[in-house]
Amino acid sequence: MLPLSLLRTAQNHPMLVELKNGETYNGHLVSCDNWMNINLREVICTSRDGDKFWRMPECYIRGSTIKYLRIPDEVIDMVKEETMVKNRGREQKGGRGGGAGDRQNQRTRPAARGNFGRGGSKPGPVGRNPPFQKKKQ
Amino acid sequence: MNKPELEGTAHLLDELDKKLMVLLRDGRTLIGYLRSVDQFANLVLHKAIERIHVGKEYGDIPRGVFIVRGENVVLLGEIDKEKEDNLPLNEVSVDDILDAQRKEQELKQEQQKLITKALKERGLQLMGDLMTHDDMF
Amino acid sequence: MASGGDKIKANQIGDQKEKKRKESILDLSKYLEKSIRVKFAGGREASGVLKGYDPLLNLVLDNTVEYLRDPDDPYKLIDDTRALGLVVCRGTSVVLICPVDGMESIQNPFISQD
Repeated sequence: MLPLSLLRTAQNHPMLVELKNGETYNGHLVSCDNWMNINLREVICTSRDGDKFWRMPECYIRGSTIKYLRIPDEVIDMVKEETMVKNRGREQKGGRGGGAGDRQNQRTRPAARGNFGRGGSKPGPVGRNPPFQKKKQ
Repeated sequence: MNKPELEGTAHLLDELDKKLMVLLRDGRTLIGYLRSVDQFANLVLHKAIERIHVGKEYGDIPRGVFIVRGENVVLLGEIDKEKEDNLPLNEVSVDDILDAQRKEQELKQEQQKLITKALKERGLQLMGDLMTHDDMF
Repeated sequence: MASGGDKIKANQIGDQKEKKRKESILDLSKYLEKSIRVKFAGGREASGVLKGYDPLLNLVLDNTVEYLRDPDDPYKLIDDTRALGLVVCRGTSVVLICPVDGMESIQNPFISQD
């Protein structure tokens, strides 16, 4: 489970993204790519000092400007289950795919989930129940 | 074991599933279990906390799962579970440590203002590290 | 021979799929002729009507307004703006893009605070 495949698994989940400049973005992950570029929907932007807030329906963030992302606990469990199922399948086939096999499986996953880049049009609660709360420092 | 695409960060694989402390470039300290690493030293930290130190006191804030972009990491260190229990530091509540941190930051900002002012009066200008590559106008 | 050719064809289709996957996750065409907000590396922010773009995220914005910043803090916006007119934004310095329509300054939505 590579960091970026965990991120792909986190699609359609709420997350908090902090940029290198200190701004934080709370929103649902719509899509991401191999450069960690991301699309979020129903976003709340918090200024670096935590004193200003903006609501945005969607936004695109360049991966290279990200400091870190915080994702919900359950996503890591989802990946664990997925890799267990995958490993079982591999054992049955008797194949030992190694790294290359892993990567291929990761590639097929977004398509298999069937909602790559399409979450933005879904209606949903706006600006309420933020996934992560930021405390004033 | 040594996958070629992980060369350079391969030694990080030895740290998988260990409890690590991660120091970020912005000065923050995260502590969590390292679940995954890639060729960019992007990290997945599980069951992570953010530890805030002020003087001899510290406080822990539960933060969950992190995907940290590798370039923001200053250092990684394994937590010695035996020595962890007798730190020469006092743990205090989250509210207390945030309070102490805020006071410390305010003090630092005050001092920085004085320095900047004194330098300006002497015809010098100290540009913060954030500004060195970007002019304002 | 025929089956060999089919295999090559199949591979080419596979390659095309691969390329498709590598396509940008950002479809800027939906913002054409619409106002977008752009944040840049270093702290500048601007908004304008998107007139054109390329895959490297170079942008052409019209009626552009730059949001000015606190002289002491390049990441703090003040209320002042200045008009820039028609501009080309260098893709490499673009940090964030969002539509102006629907973007609004709000009160602290996180109840835990205070």
